[in-house]
Amino acid sequence: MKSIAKKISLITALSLITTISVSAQDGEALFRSKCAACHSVGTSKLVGPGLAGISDKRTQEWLITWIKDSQKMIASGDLDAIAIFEEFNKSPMIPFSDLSDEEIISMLDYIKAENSGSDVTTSTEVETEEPVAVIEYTTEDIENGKMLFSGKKRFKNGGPTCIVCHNVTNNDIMVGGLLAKDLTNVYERLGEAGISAIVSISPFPAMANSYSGKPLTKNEVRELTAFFKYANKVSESQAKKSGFKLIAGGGILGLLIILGLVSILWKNRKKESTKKDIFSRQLKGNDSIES
Amino acid sequence: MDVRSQISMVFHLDKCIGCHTCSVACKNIWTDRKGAEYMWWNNVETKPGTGYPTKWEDQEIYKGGWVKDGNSVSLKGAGKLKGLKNIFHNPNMPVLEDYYHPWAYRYGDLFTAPEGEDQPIGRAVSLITGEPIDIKSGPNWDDDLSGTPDYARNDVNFKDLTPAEQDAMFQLEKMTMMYLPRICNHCLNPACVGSCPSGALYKRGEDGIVLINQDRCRAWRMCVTACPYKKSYYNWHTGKSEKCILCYPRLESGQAPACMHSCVGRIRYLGVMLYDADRIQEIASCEENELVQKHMGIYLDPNDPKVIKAARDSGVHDSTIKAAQDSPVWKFVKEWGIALPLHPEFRTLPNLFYVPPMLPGMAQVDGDGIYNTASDELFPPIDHNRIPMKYLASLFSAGDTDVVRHVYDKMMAVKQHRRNVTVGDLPKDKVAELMKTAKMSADTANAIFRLTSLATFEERFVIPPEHREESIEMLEATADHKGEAGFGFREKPARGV
Repeated sequence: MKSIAKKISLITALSLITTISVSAQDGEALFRSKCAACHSVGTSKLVGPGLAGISDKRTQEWLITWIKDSQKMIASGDLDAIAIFEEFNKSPMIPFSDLSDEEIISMLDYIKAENSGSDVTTSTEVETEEPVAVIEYTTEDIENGKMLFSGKKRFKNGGPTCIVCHNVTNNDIMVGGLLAKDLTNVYERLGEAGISAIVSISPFPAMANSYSGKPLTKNEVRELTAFFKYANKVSESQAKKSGFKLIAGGGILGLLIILGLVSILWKNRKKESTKKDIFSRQLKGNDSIES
Repeated sequence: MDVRSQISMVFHLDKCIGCHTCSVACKNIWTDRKGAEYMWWNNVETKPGTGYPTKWEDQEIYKGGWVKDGNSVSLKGAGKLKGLKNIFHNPNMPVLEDYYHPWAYRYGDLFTAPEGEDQPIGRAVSLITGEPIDIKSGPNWDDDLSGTPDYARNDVNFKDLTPAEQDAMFQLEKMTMMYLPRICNHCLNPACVGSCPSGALYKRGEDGIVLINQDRCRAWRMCVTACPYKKSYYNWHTGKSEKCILCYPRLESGQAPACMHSCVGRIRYLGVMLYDADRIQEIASCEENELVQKHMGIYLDPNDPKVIKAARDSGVHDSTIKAAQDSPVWKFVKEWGIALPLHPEFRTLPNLFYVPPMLPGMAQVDGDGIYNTASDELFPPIDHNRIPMKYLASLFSAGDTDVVRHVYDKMMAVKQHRRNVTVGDLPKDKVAELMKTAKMSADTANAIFRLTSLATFEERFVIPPEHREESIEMLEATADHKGEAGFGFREKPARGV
């Protein structure tokens, strides 16, 4: 009975793939743009877990809810959800509430289809997993990455500088933006694969918009990764700059300068009513009458 | 030569009794409105005194008028850089207290108060907030030298007088005062017009009246600062500045302005003067000791055939030239030379001239109760005037006492000549000598006497036809409207058409 059921399901799956091949292709495209930055279709971990066999592991409803808003699920006390969150150093998955159920299903179908010839994929994954730890960066790479991050050097295709939105605590560069996540320890959090995936095909809408049509070159990604690795390594010893002292001190100093300038430029201005003395005398008169 | 016509005025201070009828006439017609309560387009000041707004003559406080700047003049408190510096906050403007806080009384309370032990009173309420206020000052708080230590003692014109001379003016039995009625001078070189960032102020081409276009005024209030006579006022209700319009609607219909028409002392004269607009810059920027003389030189003789021709060429209408020939202002200012501009050192070339007052000579009541003048003569010489020449020179001639003395010589000559004509009790040789010093003929003296004392309404106000049709034709094609039903509305009424 079991084998029959398996066969039936395989047949239906195959027929489904052939009949809705268009949506499967959509699934592939969607997966590349939304998920591939953090997830592989195989078993290898990037930022998040590899997704091979995920449809067998969890129900479709569970997956849809998770993808749409994982944090809500964790807050609601779902034990599986909490377990995954803990496993991946509590780095939350961004919610994709803009995806429809159909789109999510098409992506899940795509993952399933990719893993249907399971032998081949596992063998390729073994290959890809190997070189990750090997890459060595030169100090030149780090320097270039620093310049790219802080905007001293422009991206070749004109993408905006990282520091506009992101901060990295490092003595060599100024305080960065607070609009997006602090990237001081991004290397530790995401690893090389994660960084390169996110800067190449970003799943974050703001970042995807900013870099659409202006992708980073491979070398730029490498140099940035080198800088993040270095920044992560030395992060313990870097002084935290908040810029508060600079802004407050500069503000007070600037105010004093402006006030000084005002008092010089408007030195001969009319400061009071011409009747001030007369009125003050009138008040004195009243006082003496009352007493 | 660019000949233009200018409605000018003479105020004969010898005849002013300080009754404020002019001020009230003006207020009733023009400034009895919300936001305009504190404005007195016409006001009468007592001199010595600080005036309205307080100390308006002190340009170190208010930064009004022009200052000499090489071969030209620049505004003391406005202009490109100075204006920009103060464009959002102009500290040199008079504040409400410098004028006064306008008020009215709750007269209704006198009738509606319930019966009680006490008399009902009408409390003073602010015309701005509507709340009861304590009245601290008014527009003529120093009238007739009241509050002298606070007001008259601080007169700006005392700057050239020694403390001893100042003290002398405030000793009992030596005290004196004069009245100074003021309206907008409709200057030839108006600082208010020069200062306006919106270009809302303009000087009418046909008669030289300076007006504020209420549509274009953007409440910068630069004119309030720039006018050294402080005759441009800001209406806090409408958010526009306003000033004396010389009752142009009345002038256009041939009537004298309300302040002049109502004047009980008949001190006011109005007429046309022709002037050479090409010389304004040269004269406004000349040395201070030449200012009065050169200012008088800008006015052209309307009887000179050359001037008449040039005036016609410049588009001045024949009827205006005729009015200029009959102008009482021409006679007082140019022909007889006994009227002087107020504070010519502001360099705005004002068109309101003052015949200075014949003030009483020094005198004291002696032990027998006899009023004893220091002089044996019936009319004490002008040097015995209670108000020092220097003070009058500060008002009327930028400090040049000779100019003022010359005017007094003439007036004294007229006075004594007429005394001899009507009474004949003065030594003839002395009067003849006076007439000689004043360079005056008997005919001139008689003419001055006549225009001063006996002039009719038509002699005092020679108002030219305003030729509005010509002015309108300059701005729009009247023929375009001819075929239409009526002339239409120049501005659509609020109710719609």
